[in-house]
Amino acid sequence: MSAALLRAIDPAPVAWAAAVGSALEQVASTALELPVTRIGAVGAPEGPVLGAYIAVLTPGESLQIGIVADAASSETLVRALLRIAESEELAPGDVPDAFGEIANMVGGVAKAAMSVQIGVVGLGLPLVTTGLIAAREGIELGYEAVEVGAARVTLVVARSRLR
Amino acid sequence: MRDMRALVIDDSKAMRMILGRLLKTVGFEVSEACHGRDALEKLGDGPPVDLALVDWNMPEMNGLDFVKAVRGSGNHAAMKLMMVTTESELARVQAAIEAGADEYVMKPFTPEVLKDKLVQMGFGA
Repeated sequence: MSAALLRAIDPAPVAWAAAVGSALEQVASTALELPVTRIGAVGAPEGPVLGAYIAVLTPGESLQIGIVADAASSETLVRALLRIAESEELAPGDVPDAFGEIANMVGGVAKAAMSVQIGVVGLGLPLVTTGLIAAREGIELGYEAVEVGAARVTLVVARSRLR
Repeated sequence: MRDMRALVIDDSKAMRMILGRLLKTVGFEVSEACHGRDALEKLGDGPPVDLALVDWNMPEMNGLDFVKAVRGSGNHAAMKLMMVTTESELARVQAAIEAGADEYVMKPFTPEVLKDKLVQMGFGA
């Protein structure tokens, strides 16, 4: 079955990807004050990455919405959020904590946009970890590359349907 | 006249830093708590607080339960409560206001939006 036909049968993955991308644009323009360029769909990022994920539970599906970046790009976003210049040192733990807060805001905005359509029931707490969500049966994974200022990040939507 | 005091309640250190810095520019003396239960303990031990900024989703005790606990206790009746959260659905806003929150700001926000809300609540110029 073609990807286009699958999308026609189940438009939710496309809608979630659009909502998450728009959410990052909103977060970047307000909390980060950085410009956003959406590059488009890509494969899973390679190399060591930091990932911040937030769980969203809807009546019919379970999602993890994530933002993934290498060390330099995640630090760029965190410095923008905290308004800390390159010349100043970040405290230990600042990067994962603030990166998680960025994911929390992206997840919250996306959830609000999607709840109008599908009635979202819950938003979890952010989880920050190294690496990606592993691909396995039953999970649909989508990635979108985005430039946020000088940072290159990948948005992740991992979706599994509830039975 | 004593300084204005604010309590920032958020499980994210980053968000506590952002909100605390902003409140200091308006003239607040700021303390922090990392969840609702921590905030209740700090309110019990410390000096009177004029304003609490409250996140919704936190471990231990969430922001809505904190608001209910404070308003239900009869203590700190003069303290203003502002929810600052990613929870933006109308039903959530209504639940917070019904529980006793005075204001509601949705994340992400700009410093100007938060300062405007503070002015509307009678804080700052």
